[in-house]
Parts: sequence; C-alpha cells; structure tokens
Amino acid sequence: MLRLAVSRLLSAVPVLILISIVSFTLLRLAPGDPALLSAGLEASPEVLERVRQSMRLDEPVWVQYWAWLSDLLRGDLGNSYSDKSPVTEVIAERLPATLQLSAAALLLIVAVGVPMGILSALRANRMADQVIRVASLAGVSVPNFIVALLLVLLFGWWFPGLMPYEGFVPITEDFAASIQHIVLPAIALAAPQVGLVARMTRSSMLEVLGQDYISAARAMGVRESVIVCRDALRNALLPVVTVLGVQIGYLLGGSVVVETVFSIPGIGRLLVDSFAIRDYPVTIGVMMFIAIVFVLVNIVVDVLYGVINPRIRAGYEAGRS
Amino acid sequence: MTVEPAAYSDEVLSVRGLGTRYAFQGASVPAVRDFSLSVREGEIVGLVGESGSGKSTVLKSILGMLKPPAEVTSDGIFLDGRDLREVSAKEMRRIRGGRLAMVFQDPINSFNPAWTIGNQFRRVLSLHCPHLHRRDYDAEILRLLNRVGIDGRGKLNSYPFEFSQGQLQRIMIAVACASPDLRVLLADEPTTSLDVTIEAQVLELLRDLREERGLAMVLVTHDLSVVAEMCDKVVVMYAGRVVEVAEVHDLFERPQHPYTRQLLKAIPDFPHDGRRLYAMRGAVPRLDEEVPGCTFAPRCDAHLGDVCDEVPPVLREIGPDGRRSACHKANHATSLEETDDGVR
Ligand SMILES: Nc1ncnc2c1ncn2[C@@H]1O[C@H](COP(=O)(O)OP(=O)(O)OP(=O)(O)O)[C@@H](O)[C@H]1O
Ligand SMILES: [Mg+2]
Repeated sequence: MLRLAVSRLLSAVPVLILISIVSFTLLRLAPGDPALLSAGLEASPEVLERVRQSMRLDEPVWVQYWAWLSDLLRGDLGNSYSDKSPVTEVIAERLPATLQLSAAALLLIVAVGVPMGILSALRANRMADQVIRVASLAGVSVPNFIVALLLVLLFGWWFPGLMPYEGFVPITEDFAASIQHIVLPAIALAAPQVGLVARMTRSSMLEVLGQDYISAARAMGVRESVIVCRDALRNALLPVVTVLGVQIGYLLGGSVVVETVFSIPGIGRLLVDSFAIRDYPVTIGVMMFIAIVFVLVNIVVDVLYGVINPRIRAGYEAGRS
Repeated sequence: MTVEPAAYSDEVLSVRGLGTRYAFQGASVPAVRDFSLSVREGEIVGLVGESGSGKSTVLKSILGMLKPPAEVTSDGIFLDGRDLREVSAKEMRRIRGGRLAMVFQDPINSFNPAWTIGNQFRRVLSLHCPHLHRRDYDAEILRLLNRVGIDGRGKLNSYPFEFSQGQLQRIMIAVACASPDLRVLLADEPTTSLDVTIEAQVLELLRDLREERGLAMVLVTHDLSVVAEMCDKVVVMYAGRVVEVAEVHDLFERPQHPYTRQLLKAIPDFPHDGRRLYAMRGAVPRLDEEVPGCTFAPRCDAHLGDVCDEVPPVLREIGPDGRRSACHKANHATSLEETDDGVR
C-alpha cells in the first residue's frame, strides 16, 4: 500500500513540473504589466523600470521560472506583489473558506447523488428513474456559473431575504449563519456533479444488480433489502468513490467561479483577484496549490480503492511478503 | 398432462403450464410457453436445447426469481405437493436455498467478490440451518466442503478469486447443498465453464449427492454427452417450448422430434471419421417473432408441408413412461417409429 502511494507520488512530479511550466509561461504571455499596476499609472518611466527590476521582470522568462522553482522546492512560493506578504500565508488565510465550501458541496454530492442513483437503479425504467435521469442530465449539462447566477437571481432579486446569497461566515464563528451562507454556493458548486454521481451510481448499481452473485444471493433466499444494502451497494460504490476523488479536483476548479459570484473569500476568488491585478506570484501559487491537491487526492483515492477492494489488497499483500 | 401430482407419490417437483414473458424493447415477449416438467425423488432430469431456448428462464421462474417487468404464469409449480404460487414471499425465501437450491453456470461470478468464502457460507447457514449454533458454523462449513472434496481448513477467510474455477464450482455446490432439507437442486449448466477433467469430477460429485441424499435434480445443459452420462429423463426445449420428453435411453435410441434428431446428428463421432460435421441450418427464432405453425419448421429436415408452417403442433403423449413429442409427424404415425432417416 505504502509502495503504491510512494510510486504514485514520484510519477506525479513530472506532471506537476509540466503544469508549472505551462502556467508560468501562459501568465507571462497574458497582456498587462504587473509593474505598471503596482507602481500606478502615473509613475514615471524611471520608477517603472526600478519597480520592474525589483520584481525581476526584466530577466528572461526561464530565469524567472528557475528562480521561482528553486524557491518552491524550499517551500517558498514568493511574496505577493501587492502587499509583499508571503504567498503561502495569503493562501493559508483564504483556504478555510474554500475548504468549507468544497466540503459542503461534496457532502451534497454524496448525500443527494448517491441515493438518487440507487433509487434510479432500483426503479429502473420506471417513473422515478425517468425523472431522476432527466434531472441528472440537466444538472450535468448546466455549468456552475449558470446555476450560481440563477440562484443569485432567485434569492437576491425575486425572493430576497429568504436565503443569504452573498458573503461567508467561518464555521468556527457562527455555526448557523455559516451553514446558511454556504448553502447556495454549495448547491451551485455541487449541481453538475450531483447529476454525474447519480448517473454513475445508477449504472454501476444496475451492473452489479445484474451480476450472477446477486442472482445467487436471491436463489439462496436472501431478503431483497439485504441484497441491495450488503451485496450490491459496496461493490457498486467502488467506481463511484474513484469519481468522487476526481471531483474534488473539479470542485476546486468550480470554486473559482462560484466564489466570485457569491463573494466568498476563498482561493478561487483569490485566483481571479490576483490575476486581475497581475499579482503573478499569488496567481501561480494558487494554480500550483490546486494542481497539487488534485494530484494528492487522486493518489489517496487510488490507495483507498485498494483498501476497499479485497482483490487489489490481496495483490499488494502478496507482493509485499 | 392431466395426471394429478398424487399419481406419482414420489414426485417432488412438478411444473405445469409455465409461461414466462420478458420485457424486450418495450414489448412483452414470451421466453417460455406452456412448459411442464415432473421430477421424482432421486431423479436427474436433463433440460436441453440451444442457447436462448429458455432453459435458464425456466429455472429462474421455478425459483420465483423473476420480477416485473418479467411475468411468470403457470397452472401450478408444486414442490412436495405444495403449490409455490400460494406461498408467501417470506416462506418462498425459506424455500429458496432451503428445499430448492440452484447452482449457476459461472462459478467465479456467482460469488460476491468482496466477501470471503467463509462469510458466504455463514450467510446460508444462518438462513437455512436455524438450529445450528453460531460457534458450530465453521465446523459445519468444513464438513460441507469436505463433502465436495475440498479441504477448507485455513481457507475460510480467502476470497473467491483465490480459488480455481473447479474449486469454486464445488464450493458453490456445497453452498447450495448446505440446507439439510434440500429436496431439489436446479443446476444451470454447472460444468460449462470447466475443463473436461474437472467437469467429470463435478458430475461425479452431483451423482454422489443424488445417491447419498436422494436429491432430485434438474440439470440444464446443452451438452448431450452430459445428458447421456447423468440423466434419467430428458426434456428437450426449442424456442421456449418443450418439443420432446423421453427417458434418456429412449431419447438416444429413438429420438422422435426432428429437432432432437438434428441435435444428435450434430454431435461429432469419436474417433471422428473425417466427414464434415452436420450443422443445423438457420437459427433460433427471435422471441418477438410470432410463428403461425411449428417454430422449428424453417429448420426442420423432416418438414411435412403446409401443416408444419400453419398449424402449431401440440405436445402429445406418444408412448409409455411419459414419452411425448410435439411434432405433426408423430401425429401421423400411430406408434413409435424407429429411427430410420440415418441419424448417425
Ligand atoms: N432479463 C431478461 N430480459 C429480457 N430478455 C431476456 C432476459 N433474460 C433472458 N432473456 C431472453 O430470453 C431468452 C431465453 O433466455 P435463457 O437465458 O432462458 O436461455 P437459455 O436457454 O438459458 O440459453 P443459454 O444456453 O444461452 O444459457 C433469450 O432469448 C434471452 O435473450
Ligand atoms: Mg442459460
């Protein structure tokens, strides 16, 4: 198990380096001069040049990249252009909001998507199934930002006062208010994924229910509810768990839009704001952070998958001994 | 067809007028029609027919495992004289795996991959051996495994994939026979996925079980050599219907239905004489195809003419010991005819 984790980690390194090169280059290619934004529009050319030098923007891109990368390897993401505080601190400060939002969305995905999928499979091709399938398809095809805008429109314009549609309250501060504030953003973030998970669960459940060992359990006189819960569900959820892992990555991506629409001070919002003022160290810091989380989550999911699946587990145990 | 179950005092399983329909592309199509079967104590009845003829469907219908949109109708499915149609769902669960058990074709997929063998056994014991104490389960499992020739010591915590196909098939038979009340074993192609040596062992195991416990069996197979080796009686199915019923010797000596003859003709001789094998032309009709006459007519080598294409033949008594055939040709002849048209 440990060996698997380590080998996956090592193979992730080149991927991360490639991501960093691409994002670094793309950022420098984007129009806009950070020095100008930092020094102000009315700054004289001499001042501008000095600022540029202090930001090392006058050096070739690859030299800048190399300096950045060697700092990164020491755990240093550099300092923000705007307030000179370390990027790691800026991210750490914004992280709780994103974590809370993603956790709420993930909870929604699991708590709504999985039961919907199971119900759909058990009622395959009947009324409930048709409704759920149409709903999931709609959910999957509507992007986050549409859902987010609709929710803001609904609760901010048509029915104001029902539900807070703006801002963020840390869960440690005021539990009830925090939950209230997170509901709409979490729905917007989760909506496309709920449909996906429902569809995955449905097809995986149907596949498992069609297996011979389910018939064998029936032929043994096992109660149908037991068959669904004990025989089918566990095997059916294996592939769903993998998908959920990948979705955590997408949640981080989706949080960029959702946090912006709902004014939540998370890292998604940070990414947008920092890019707007060309605060490159912060922008690329957030990008790398998201990439690393994405990769780590996938490794964790792979390892977990092995823990749940006896066949893979046995394979590793055999390999170890 | 009109014989009451009481007429055979030792009849354990009797199925009458079974019809099963599946939902297929939004329509309800018949997979089995007017199927009847009678199995006596200690008797092994073979159920043969090409793929898609409805053999597995018959077994599943008998066990009551089909759920809507599939529809099962019958004039009665009697186990020890008790009509299973009138049994409550709870009682039916007790019968399934209790007095009536099933063995499936593919041993690997018939075990839950996430459960240890021991746990799958324990479940069956807890369902069907209520008098057995929990702490005696493992001893009982080892005994049952021993019965099918497997030394289970230290293997109860192994997962299905850690066993070979042949071992798994034996284990599945052991699981199916775990109930002390078992009366009838329904075996759906129990040896199809095994190689010949293992197949012989498993068949022998089934025969032993019959001797020892007086089990009755319905053995589904498309392998006529298995039928010859194992069965007392044979029911031949074609496209969801019974076309011939015979004692096993009678079937091989004097096949009456042209379908049976053609099936027999398609078996290669050993040693092979080098001639081309006989292959039946055409294919089994689709389920949703309504055929006005005999469903086998288009492929029949003994086609009589319009009557075959227009009038459906009835399954008729044509001799002693329940000998039946559903062919217009048998209707024309007054007695059993000898095999004359060069079968083999
Ligand atoms: N659940 C189902 N829904 C719809 N059609 C089905 C279903 N199960 C079986 N069928 C159809 O019913 C017919 C009979 O199937 P069945 O499995 O009973 O055949 P079989 O004689 O056991 O064949 P084989 O030798 O291949 O196992 C086939 O045409 C099959 O396609
Ligand atoms: Mg079958």
